[in-house]
Amino acid sequence: MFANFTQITPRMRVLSDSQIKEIHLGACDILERTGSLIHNEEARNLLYSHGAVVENNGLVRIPSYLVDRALNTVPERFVLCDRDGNRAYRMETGKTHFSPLVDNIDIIDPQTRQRRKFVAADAARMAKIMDYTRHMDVVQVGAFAADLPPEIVDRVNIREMMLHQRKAISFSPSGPDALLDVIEMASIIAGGREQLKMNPYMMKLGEPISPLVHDDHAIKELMICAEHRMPIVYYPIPMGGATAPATSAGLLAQSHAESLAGLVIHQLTNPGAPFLYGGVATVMDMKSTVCVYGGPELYLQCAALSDIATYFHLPFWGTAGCTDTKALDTQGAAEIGMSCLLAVLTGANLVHDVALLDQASLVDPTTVLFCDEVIDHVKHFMRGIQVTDETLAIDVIDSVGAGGNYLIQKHTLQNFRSFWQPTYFTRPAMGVSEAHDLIKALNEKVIDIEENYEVPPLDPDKVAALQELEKKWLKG
Amino acid sequence: MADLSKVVEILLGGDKDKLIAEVQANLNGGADGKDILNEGLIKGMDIVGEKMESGDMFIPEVLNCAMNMSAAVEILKPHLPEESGSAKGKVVIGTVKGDLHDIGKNLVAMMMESAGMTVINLGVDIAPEQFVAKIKESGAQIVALSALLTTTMAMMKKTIDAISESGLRDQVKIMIGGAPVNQDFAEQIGADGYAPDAGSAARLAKELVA
Repeated sequence: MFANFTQITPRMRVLSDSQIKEIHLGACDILERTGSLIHNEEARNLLYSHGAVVENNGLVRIPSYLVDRALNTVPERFVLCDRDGNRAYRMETGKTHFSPLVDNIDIIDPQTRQRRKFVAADAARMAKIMDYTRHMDVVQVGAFAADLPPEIVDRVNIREMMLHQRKAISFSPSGPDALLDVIEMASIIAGGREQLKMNPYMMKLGEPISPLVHDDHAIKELMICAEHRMPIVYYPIPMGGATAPATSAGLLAQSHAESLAGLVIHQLTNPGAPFLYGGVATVMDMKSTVCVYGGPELYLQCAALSDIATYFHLPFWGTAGCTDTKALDTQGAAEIGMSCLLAVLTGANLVHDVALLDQASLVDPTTVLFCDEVIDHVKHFMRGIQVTDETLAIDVIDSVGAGGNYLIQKHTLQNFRSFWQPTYFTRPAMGVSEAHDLIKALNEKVIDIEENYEVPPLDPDKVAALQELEKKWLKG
Repeated sequence: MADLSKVVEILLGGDKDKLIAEVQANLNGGADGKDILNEGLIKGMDIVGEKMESGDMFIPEVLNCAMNMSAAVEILKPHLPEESGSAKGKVVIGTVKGDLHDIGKNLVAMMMESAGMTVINLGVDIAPEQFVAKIKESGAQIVALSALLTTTMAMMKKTIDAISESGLRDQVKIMIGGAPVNQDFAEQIGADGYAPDAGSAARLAKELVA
C-alpha cells in the first residue's frame, strides 16, 4: 500500500520556516548589536580570540559567523543511558522523554497529604517512585533539602538517585567544583571517563539570566561540560513583559540569542560536544508578578522554540506537566494534561519540570503518578495510525457485513489489546454512581510503592567507589 | 483650593505629557504646589494602589502611573516647601553577592518608589561590605536583600551579620525576598521582615518606617 510511505505521526508546528528565519536573523542581530554580558573572563578571551568584540564592562558582541560555525559543529542528537548503561533515552527526532524534578523547597508528604519542607530522607523516597514509573526517564535533581548544608545538597541528592533508582539523572550543581565531583560520580556509574563520554548517564542544567546576561558559574560549568562531553541544556527563562519583550516574536528572538551565546561558547570550547537547546519561554503574570508555569503563552512560545530547534537540527528541551496551582487540583490536572500533549505534539525531546507545583517550589509524589498516567495517555496518541491491508480490514468489514458486530471476530481478538487501558484513571460501568477519588487512589499507590517496591541495588563495587569519593566532598 | 480632580483623572489615564501640562496649568493658575501634590498626585496614586489591589490595574499600568507622577513631582519641586520633599523613607536594595538575578528586586524597587520612598538600587552581586558602605553613606532606614538561588540564601545571613558587626543594625530595618526564602527563614537569619511579592514589599517597607 502506498500509504505507509507517508504515514504521519501527529505533529504540530506554530512557526513557518520563513518566520523561524526572521527570528534567527533577529537573534544574530541582537548578538552583534546589543551584545551579551558574559561574566567569565575565560569565555570572553575565547570569544575574543575567535573574532568577537569584547568591551571593558564584559559586554561581548558575537559576530554571526561564530553562530553559523557553532550550529555546524553541534551534534543533531545525543543519547542518555540508564544506570545499567542501556542507551535508553534518545534525544533525537521523533523521541520524547519526560523529566520530573525530584527535590524542591517543599514536598507534599504522602502520609499526611500536608505540605512540609523537603528533607534529605525524602530523596530516596522520591527515587523509588521515579524508578517505578513508566515514563519518568530522566530524574532532575534541583538540589534542595532543608536539613543539609546548601554547599553539598546537590551531591547528596545525586548520590541518593544513583543508589535508589535506575533512570538517567539531570542536575544543577552548586558550582564548578561540585560539577567536577559529579562528573567523577557519573564516571563511577558509567565505568570510567571514556565510557561516560560515549554513554552519558547524566546531563547538566544551566541557565543564562534574561535579558542577555551569562553569569560566571553558569559559563564555567558550560565550558567544563563541553570539555568532558557531558550533555548540557543551557536554557533561558524569559518572562514576556518583564525580562523579555511582551510580544512573542521579540521574546523568541531574545531567547534564541541567549541560547546561541551559550552554544557558541560551548562549541568553541569543544566542537561536537552534546548540547540540548531549550527555553522556558513564558510571561510574567501582571497581577501577581509570578512567572507563568501553566498557560497558553508558555505552551505556544515553547512550541515555537521547538520549531526553531527542529529547523536547526538541535535536540529540544521542553517544559510541561507543571502547573501554577498549589496542589493537584482540577486546574492543575487541566494544565498538566494540555501541556504534556502539546509537548509531544511539538516534538520536544526531553520535557522537564513534570509534576511541579506552585511556582516550581513544591514536589508531590502523587502528582508524579498522575503525570505518568497522563503521559501514558499522550504517548498512545502519538503512535498515530498505521494503514496496512491488515489494519484497513476491508475483508473483515465485508465478512461482518451491514448490521453485524465485531465482538467475536478473530481480527478483534488479535487487535483490541492495543487499545489504551488506563492504569490509574477509571471508566466505571454505567450504574456506578459514586465518583472515583483519583488523588486518594494515587496517594495510596505512592504509599504502596514506598512500602513494597524494591529497586535493584547498585553494584557494591560502585557503591564503595562512591563512598571513597564522598570523603573528598562530604567534609564539614 | 483649586479643583484638582482633573489631575487625579489624568494621572489615572497614564499619559505623562498630559499630566505635566495639567500640573503646569494648575501652577500657572496659582494653585498651591503642596495641594497639587497631596490632593492631586498622591490622591491619584492612592486610587492606583486600590485598583491594583482589586485587580483592575496591572503592574505595567501601575508603574507607568508611578513614573508619570515622579516626572510631575520634578516640576512641582520648586513650589514645595523643603520638608515635603523628604520622602517617606529611604531604602537601600540589592541582590546579594553571587546572585545576578534582577527582575524581582527591580520590581520591588519600582513599587517602593511608587509608594513615595527614596530607593537606592545597588544592582546585583552586591557584597556585604557594599551594603554596609551604602547604609553609612545614605543614612537609609531600610535595607532590602534579594536572592533567587538557594546557594545564595546563606549570603543574606552573611550580609545581615556584616551590618550588625558594623554597628548599623539598630539604624536599619532589614527585609528579604526572593523565590527560595520565606518568613521562617527571615526570622532564622535575623531579618525584620519578609514579603512574598513587590506590592506587599512596598507596604511592608512603609510599615517598618512608620
